Amino acid sequence: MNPKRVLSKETVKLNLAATSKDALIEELVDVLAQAGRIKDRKAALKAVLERERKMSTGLQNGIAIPHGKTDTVESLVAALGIKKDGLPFDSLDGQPCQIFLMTLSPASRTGPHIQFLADISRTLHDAAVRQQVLDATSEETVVDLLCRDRTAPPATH
Amino acid sequence: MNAIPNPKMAGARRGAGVWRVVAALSVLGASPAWASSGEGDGAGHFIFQMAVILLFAHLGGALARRHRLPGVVGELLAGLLVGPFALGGLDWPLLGAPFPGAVAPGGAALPAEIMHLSTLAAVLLLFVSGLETDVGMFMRYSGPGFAVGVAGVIAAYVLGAGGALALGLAETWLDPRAMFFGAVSTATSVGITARLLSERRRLETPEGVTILAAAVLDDILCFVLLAVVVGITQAQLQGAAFAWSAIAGVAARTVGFWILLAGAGLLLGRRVARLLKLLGSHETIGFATFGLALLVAGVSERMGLAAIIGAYTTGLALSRSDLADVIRARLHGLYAGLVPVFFCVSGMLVDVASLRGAAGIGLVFTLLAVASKVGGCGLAALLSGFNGLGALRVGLGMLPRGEVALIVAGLGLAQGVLTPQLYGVSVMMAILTTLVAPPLLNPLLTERTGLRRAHRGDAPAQELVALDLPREDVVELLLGRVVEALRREEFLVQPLPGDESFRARQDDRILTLSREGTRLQIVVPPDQAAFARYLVLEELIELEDLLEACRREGRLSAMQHDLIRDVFRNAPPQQVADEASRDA
Repeated sequence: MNPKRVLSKETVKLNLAATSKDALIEELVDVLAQAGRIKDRKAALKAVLERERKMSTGLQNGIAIPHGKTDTVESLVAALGIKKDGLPFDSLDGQPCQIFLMTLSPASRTGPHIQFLADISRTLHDAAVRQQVLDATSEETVVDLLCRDRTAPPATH
Repeated sequence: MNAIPNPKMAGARRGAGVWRVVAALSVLGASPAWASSGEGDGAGHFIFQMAVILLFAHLGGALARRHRLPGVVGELLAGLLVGPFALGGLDWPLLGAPFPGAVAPGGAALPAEIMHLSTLAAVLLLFVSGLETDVGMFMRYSGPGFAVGVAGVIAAYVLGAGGALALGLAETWLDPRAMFFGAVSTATSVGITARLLSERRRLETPEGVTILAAAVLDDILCFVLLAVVVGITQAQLQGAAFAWSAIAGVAARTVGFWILLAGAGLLLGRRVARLLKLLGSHETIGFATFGLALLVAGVSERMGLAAIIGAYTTGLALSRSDLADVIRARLHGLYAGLVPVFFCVSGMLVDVASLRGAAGIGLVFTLLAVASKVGGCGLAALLSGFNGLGALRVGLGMLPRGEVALIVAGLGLAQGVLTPQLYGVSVMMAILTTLVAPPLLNPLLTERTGLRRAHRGDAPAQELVALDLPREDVVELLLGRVVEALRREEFLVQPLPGDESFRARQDDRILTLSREGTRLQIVVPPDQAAFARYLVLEELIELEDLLEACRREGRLSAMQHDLIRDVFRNAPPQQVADEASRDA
């Protein structure tokens, strides 16, 4: 799977405006809706919020991966948002989150959905990449940083 | 059966009937038609022979395993016991001799159809060995494999041909007899070692891969050598001058074809696998792929390369695709049934009687054969980064000569170069090295490393993702769900034989899942650890959700009552009454 087919500059937002967890999720869903990736905005929002309610997807190092399953999408879709000053997201390390990767995958279709999530977040675990993403001034740069050849070994180690 | 009032009596009567027939037959001295004719043709006799082979091969294998020996040893010994030169050549009561063919001097010990079936089994064995090979490791160890293979071939040829000279069996190094003894000594029968390594799950260790790589090279060199030896022999027999150009031509064609085949396989393997996936059902994929392997094996045979090398190369080509596990799982039954036939037949080919007079020569040759492989291959292994233990494992793994040596010796016999007794000596060497190798190698297959130091070719460290759950059945439930989740991620998941574990594979990504007591374990390459954790996390969340839903609804207990209340509701009253009266 080519990650660039899923994550493109239309689905990246550099300066998120939201000031609460729910509003931020809604803002990212709107990014997907505006890019024409989802038809049923309401169902998508419900799926992500439902998953978030069960367990927060705020990880460590300022990364969060809100995601959900819904059959209103036909294939995996993803959006990435950045909020430099951070937002409390009930993360594992208690720190506010700055980089938000959202995915929506069809519930009844197979595909490397969790693998996509895992691969991108693994790339983001590299502090240098993370800083570059935060410093990026264009959406294309972010896409290029995160969709580099995944067969290459990660920069850490 | 229902008409018979007393089944016990009928059984006794039927038994008596059988014995009456037996008595009548033995009084008349009657035997089935095939037994009295002494000829082995006819489907009926073939079925009888197969029955004997299947029963003895599998009984022998089971017996050996019960005594903690590899099954191969039992299968070979069962073949020796029941072969045409031992029990198989004798008249069996009622059935006649199963393998009377060996009575004719110089004649084929076993009928062609048995030999064909045995070849088919060898092809299957080598195809699966190829599938089980980790190509990444194969490439990393092709260096040591090359050194070990070449050193083993040179040492074995020199000691084999030199032994013939020293014992006065041949006059010069170019004497066809010396050359045949040299060639017989070279070929390693990778199948026997591969089976042992596979049984002990050591096929993917550095030693295992080196042995396999070396043995492939060994076989190729042996067949090139054979082509050369046969060429020189024929030239000498016809009194003509050596035609080195013709011999070089044959050798170049054989090696060239293999390089072409292996290269094409490595380049196209995954693409072929993608096409095979279009066949849909795993059953179809498994057997269609075996058909493909047979096709390549057949073409290889035509090109002067042994069929088993073609089959091995096909397996090797497909081992890099995620289909490898699927094919192996589908062929497992056929493999388990047929491969013992090959080893049993290998044992059956030994003429025990002809060895009596040549036991001394046979022992000397066996010792030379052992020394050449353990010394030659072991030394090369020592120089390629293995320690003493690793070198010994490699050397002993290269010991068995088996089927390829038998093919070479058979050719020598057919060409009139080897007398039946010297043929017997060659076979004795092949069988003894085969018999000796597994018991010697088996105890050395411990967890201890056979490498001098951490080798750059070491398998990358694996990461363990483990969860301790409250109860065993929760582990089972979660494991099942994780397997399903992996399938949704388009992994091919196969249960592993023997224990409660699974192997999930997508191209090069391989995850091993298992449960031990209340613990769920997933072994992953480090770059897949995050994926495994996310996957299990989602399933844990779903599981918690599921439990909560059941509890929240509060309907489960109501359902339980409904279920049990309905047990007798639909039973017709009469039946209930009948049961009541009978109980009374």
